[in-house]
Amino acid sequence: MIGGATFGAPGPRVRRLRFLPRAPVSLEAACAAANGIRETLRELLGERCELVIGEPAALSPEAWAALAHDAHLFLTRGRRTDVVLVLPKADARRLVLRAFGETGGGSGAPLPDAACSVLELHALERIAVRCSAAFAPLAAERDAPRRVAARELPACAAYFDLRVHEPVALTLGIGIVRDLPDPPPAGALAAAALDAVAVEVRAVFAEGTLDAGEFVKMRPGHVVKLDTKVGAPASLKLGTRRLATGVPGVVASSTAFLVHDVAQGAQ
Amino acid sequence: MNGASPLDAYERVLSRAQDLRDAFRAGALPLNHDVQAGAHVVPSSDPLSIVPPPGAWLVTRGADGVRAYERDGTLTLDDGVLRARDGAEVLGYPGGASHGAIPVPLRVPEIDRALGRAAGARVAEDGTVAYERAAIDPRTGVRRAERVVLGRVALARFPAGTQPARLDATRAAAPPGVAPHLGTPRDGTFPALAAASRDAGTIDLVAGVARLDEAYRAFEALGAAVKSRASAQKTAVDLVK
Repeated sequence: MIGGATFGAPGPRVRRLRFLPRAPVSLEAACAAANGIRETLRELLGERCELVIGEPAALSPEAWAALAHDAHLFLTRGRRTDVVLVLPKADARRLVLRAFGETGGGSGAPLPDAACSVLELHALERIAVRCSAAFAPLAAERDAPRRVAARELPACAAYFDLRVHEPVALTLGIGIVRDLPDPPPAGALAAAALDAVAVEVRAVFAEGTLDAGEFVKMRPGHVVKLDTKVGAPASLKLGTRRLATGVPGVVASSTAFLVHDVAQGAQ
Repeated sequence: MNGASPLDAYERVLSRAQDLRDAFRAGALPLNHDVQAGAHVVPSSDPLSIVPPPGAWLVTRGADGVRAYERDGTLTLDDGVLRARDGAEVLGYPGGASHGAIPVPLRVPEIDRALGRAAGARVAEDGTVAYERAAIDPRTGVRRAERVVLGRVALARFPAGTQPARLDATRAAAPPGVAPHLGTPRDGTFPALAAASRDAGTIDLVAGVARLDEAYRAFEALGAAVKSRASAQKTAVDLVK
């Protein structure tokens, strides 16, 4: 499904227009997951956490291969989809150093070693487990995450990145393995927009049934007996839907209806 | 004639003709310096196309790892790396400042490269290579543009009186024993570069045609002389017979 269009790389001649596939993950779900991860990082690191997310994007297998290359991958299987937490190795080390309270995790600071130790990998898995709680809006019911190699995974269909600015600059990625079902259509028009629309209402003070033969013989002067008891409340109706009950009356020279009760969906 | 041979004259014709063939090539280095003119800067719709200031060179690194200097500023972001037209990596300073730094290839971050986010990259007059990507605040859903800077392109200048050694039509190498001065546009030592512009040719077309005509005439004169000498020799041989 086409989600947008963009122009190709600049060049000396005309830039080609190309269509972009729609990302099979809603922005709302991505924001909900990002907010959950922000809170998790705040709890883990004990500091205020500031992050933004990138636009969710549909992925080609080549793009997924590039994203998964040189990254730690944690797979969370879910009912709606499987979610992969992508931690680029340099950022993973930066995160785990910060979690251990070491100060060498600044974005520009040189890292002592590119590879994580066994202890650090274990800490990363614990962080991934905590972060997986934030995947509920994406995965629904889910299993505990586990670290996987890229070759164990099918290519992710969508991806968005979480750019953490504070307390340590790093980027986490969220890969969506299967397309999520389409979200329900969002309300595009507020109910208040219909306030000025005029509707025709009727006040009914009595109702009854009539035989067809009696209807055919009806003449001026006939009295038709209705089923409604004397003194029963009248109804204010919109089409066949009852809006309110009350008492019919007169205001100045016009008929009127005094509302006693407003109906809540009753007919 | 003093050692001038028809072959030399013919090669001079070829070199003059080659200079004319490169007349409209951006950043072309002529084989004969007497036809070189200043860059003819014209606007370009390509935001990655630049023209270095006069006397300044872009610093590139070829696939063989050898550093070269070019004036063709038709740049591309190919495979996430800023490259010159010939595919060489364009060197620059990711930190922005050249002082105490070694120029390195300017690269798009891996995630943005994989997602094709750098398609709108441009080079500014101060040599900054940057692009914008969307950043969404997950708390509010508000979307804003976030600028990603790859760095600033490096410029080189050779000391006065030295001439870089021509490698091919657009690339040159530093003369032996000469270290060029490196910097960035608008750093106090180099002026701004021409952004969104292209070099429409650095060769003086009129002078090039005139020199080619001269070379042709010299070749023809040499040819006539050789023919005349051959005829005289034949006559002398015939008389001896």
